Amino acid sequence: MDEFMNSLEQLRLEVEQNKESNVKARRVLLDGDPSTNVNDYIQKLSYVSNVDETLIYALKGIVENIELPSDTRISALEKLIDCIAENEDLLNWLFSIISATQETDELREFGLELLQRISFGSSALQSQRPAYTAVLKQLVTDKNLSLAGSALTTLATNKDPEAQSILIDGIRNPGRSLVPVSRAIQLLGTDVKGGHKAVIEEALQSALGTTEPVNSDFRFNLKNAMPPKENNKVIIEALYALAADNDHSGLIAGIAADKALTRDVRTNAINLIKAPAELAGLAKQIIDDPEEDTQIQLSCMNALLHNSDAPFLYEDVDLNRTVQRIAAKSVLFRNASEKYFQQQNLSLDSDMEMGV
Amino acid sequence: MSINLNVNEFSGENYYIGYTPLPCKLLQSSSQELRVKLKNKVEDQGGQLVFRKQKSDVAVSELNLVIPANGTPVEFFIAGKYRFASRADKDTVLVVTDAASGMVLFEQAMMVRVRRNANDLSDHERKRFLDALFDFNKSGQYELFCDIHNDDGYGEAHRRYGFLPWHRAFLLDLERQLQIKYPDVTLPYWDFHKPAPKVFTPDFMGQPDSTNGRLKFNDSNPLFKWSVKGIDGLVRLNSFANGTPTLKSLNETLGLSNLFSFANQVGMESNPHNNAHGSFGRGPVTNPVTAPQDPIFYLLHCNVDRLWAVWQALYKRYDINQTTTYPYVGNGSRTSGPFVGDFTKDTLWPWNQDVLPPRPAVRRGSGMPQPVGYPAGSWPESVFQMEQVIDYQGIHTDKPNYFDYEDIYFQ
Repeated sequence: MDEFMNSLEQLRLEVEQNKESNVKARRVLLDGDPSTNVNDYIQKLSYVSNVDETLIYALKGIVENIELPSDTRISALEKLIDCIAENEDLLNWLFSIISATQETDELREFGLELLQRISFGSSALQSQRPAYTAVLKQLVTDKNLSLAGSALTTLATNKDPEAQSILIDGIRNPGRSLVPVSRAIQLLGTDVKGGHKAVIEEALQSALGTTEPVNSDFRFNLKNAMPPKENNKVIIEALYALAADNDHSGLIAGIAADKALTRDVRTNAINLIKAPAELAGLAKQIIDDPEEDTQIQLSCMNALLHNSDAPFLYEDVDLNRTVQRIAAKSVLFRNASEKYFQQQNLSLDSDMEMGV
Repeated sequence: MSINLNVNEFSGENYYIGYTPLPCKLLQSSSQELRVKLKNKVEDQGGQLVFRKQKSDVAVSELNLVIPANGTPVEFFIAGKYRFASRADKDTVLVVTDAASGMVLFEQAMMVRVRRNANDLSDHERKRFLDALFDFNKSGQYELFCDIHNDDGYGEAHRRYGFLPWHRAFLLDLERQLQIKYPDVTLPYWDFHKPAPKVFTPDFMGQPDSTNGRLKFNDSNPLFKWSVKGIDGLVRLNSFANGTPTLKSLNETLGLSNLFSFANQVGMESNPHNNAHGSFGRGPVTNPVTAPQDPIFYLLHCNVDRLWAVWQALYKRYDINQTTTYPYVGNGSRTSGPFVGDFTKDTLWPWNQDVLPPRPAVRRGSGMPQPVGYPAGSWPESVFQMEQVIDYQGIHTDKPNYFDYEDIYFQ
């Protein structure tokens, strides 16, 4: 108890010191003393409330002062974040900074990051949505490619059709894509009703290095088609995007089973199989294969342990036998197997006696 | 001779104890009084208990008592010891010894169950929490929580004075739902003012891919198979394993005189809360209407609630009749802000099942789940007024909510 009371007392002291430090920093910044290190005082300043108009004015002046170092201007902008979130005039002022091509890249990029941070719950951003969208669309063509990519990402997150078209173009022509292809697929994939399956299947086909079109009827046998490693992220994102569609469960199971593909791709595929019949079939194939990668076999065991339709799996006697057999492979497998049977209210050993 | 223990009118096998002292009775069957000593079986290992003869007494680690003869009870109080929470169920053992000989007369395993820093969880605690979450999602109920928070309930819970109490109840509801199957589990908090290297990892809350933010999980982590609202997997652009999001500092947050106000951004909702969400850069947690789809939501909000609890402890803001504790005491009858749902005597949606305006027009879920099978009272009630979650330790009301944070003791 004493320990707790002492910690509270220490905290109370620190809170008061912080308040005093803020008061002092505020005074120095408002006085505008040129001999002070402005950035040090900005750091000690609390976040500014939008009723503190004098301080807002002072900080805006610092942000706009191109004579000052970039980090000082960024610090001042950061302290205005709470006001910008609720004040349309300040938000539009920030839009103008981000849009100004003569401004420093650092300040513009920080400004855009600030917009992302306030996007959760900002009333100003809500009411200025059209202006915000216009700024982002302008930025997509900016010569600063980092800004362009970030703006495109934000637009696409909000399911903007123009942004989605640019993403699709980038997927088909990776040389001019503003964002990594894997991210483009992910962004399109989150729009589950967007009808982007065809382009995602194209991207998957290209990443897998196969000439056969990839669609829901496709079954893989890629043993001779080792795709380049850099394509792994593209394959994985395509799988996540297509997993929302039950028609693709066979395709995903095929990828999970294909030994030509990397462990990373295969484990993601295994974890994306939702249909218990597909999972049971795959698990029997992989776990019973003595030539199979041990990690992939463990992935299958973990997927069985975490499947949503466990009762369906439990009725598969062959699968139970497979899980029993693999228990002998190592302690890890034995633990996983035991847990699988515990979930069925059985023990691994007693179950064997029952001849399952 | 037999000895029986009763904790908060409960006798059974499962004892989950927090920091709020619980009234206990000890009875024995012999015809002579018995002089005994109460203590922890193992000192400074596992969860630890402290004892008081009266609730207002200073807590001690050993307590001498005289148990009257023939089943007349002796009364005392037990609580968890500050900073000595359990790491696993029943790792705390209360022993009653003969005061003279030291012979053990009675033992009872318990758990000192409090909400802990997610970064400090043991492998076992982490696994239990993840399994509990996954099972709950598998049952289909997790999506109900998303619906309550998002489409229907967003206006009940956000941009208003009731932001903090509403979310306190929301967290407690989920925690109690998880505890039905996993009674040893509590919601952990992500202390976003400190780096959390053990939180943003493949074996816990995931590690983002640097190119696209796809979270990587270990095979054994059930979140690898996370799927909510038809979306598989999780995305966050930024991780805070080695740094912290840029937001209001701890001292600045605790220095707020009014945590509850959203007006003029002086409250906690805009900063640090909104900024903590936005700081992840991308993914469901950064969007108010999808945020709870990512379980990091609950760790983030648990910390927001903890910060309110620290503020309460710092300034002793527990008296629900004081406007310094919460600004709107009484009944909400206003149609302009603060609204119905912002006052201490208002019931909270969805637990009140109220579908009349200005509440949302749909019923979601049911009342607040009541703890069963271990010593706890029915507080907050199934349908409750906001004030029932403000004094969560029952300091003024003597009606605790039966949750605690490991770093906030009962004063």
